[in-house]
Amino acid sequence: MEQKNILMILAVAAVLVALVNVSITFLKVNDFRNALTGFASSDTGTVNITVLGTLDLNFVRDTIDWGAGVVYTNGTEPNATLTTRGNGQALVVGGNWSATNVYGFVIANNGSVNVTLNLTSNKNATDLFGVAPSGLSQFKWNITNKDTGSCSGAGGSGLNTFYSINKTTDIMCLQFGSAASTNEIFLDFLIQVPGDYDAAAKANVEQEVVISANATVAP
Amino acid sequence: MVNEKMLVVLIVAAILLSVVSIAVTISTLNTKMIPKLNPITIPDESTGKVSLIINEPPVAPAE
Repeated sequence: MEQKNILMILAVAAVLVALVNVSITFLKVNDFRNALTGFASSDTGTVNITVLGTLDLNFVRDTIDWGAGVVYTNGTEPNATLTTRGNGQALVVGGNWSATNVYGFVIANNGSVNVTLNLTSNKNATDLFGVAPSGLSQFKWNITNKDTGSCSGAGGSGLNTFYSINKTTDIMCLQFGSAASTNEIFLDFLIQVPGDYDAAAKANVEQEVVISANATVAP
Repeated sequence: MVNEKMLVVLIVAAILLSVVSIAVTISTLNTKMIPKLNPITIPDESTGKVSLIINEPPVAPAE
């Protein structure tokens, strides 16, 4: 056989082998992306894996419905104060809203890692009642531990204190625990309805506030 | 002028290297697999609702 023919055969063979090489590499890389395996070519081997944390924030109790009521207007500074108190029955002063079956929110961290809890309200006191000349309108929230030690390192807000709600996002817990016995908090509200609320715009209308809780992995 | 015997040697070497490459690729990928990490969605978010209705006080009947 001529030397040129041998060269040609070898060259073609080289190209075919190279193509097979590329194909196998491509296919194996795809397998590599989708498979999770500890296959080893010897009797012993080591598999290193990282188990990622999961975030799962949940409102165990997510509705506070005060229903309808009026502000008693016989006081010197007429206003009504509606307060939730965790698992205790809510309190109404200066109005006739029903406190029956009204309790605070319960928020649980059902994930596997501690999180930082941020809360946002889509309304503030002015949105709820309009501009009250008396200045007696209030809309506040308060975090308390349902499970002792659930919330620590409260950012701009301390525990067990009512703070005015703005429509900004507030850090409520820098560390919100994930352990089964330390992963629930109460979120209570204090609503003060002024007697001089903007009745033309706000009377006999259901006022609804959406509270958004947001969790990120705690530092 | 290119030496044809040298060409043959080079091509044979290329084939052998390719075969070795395939073997190394298969061996490496089968023995050192790294798991593909599932994406996680962060942050998590949940919402609750607070609602009330303010009724106007009843108007006293005219005397």
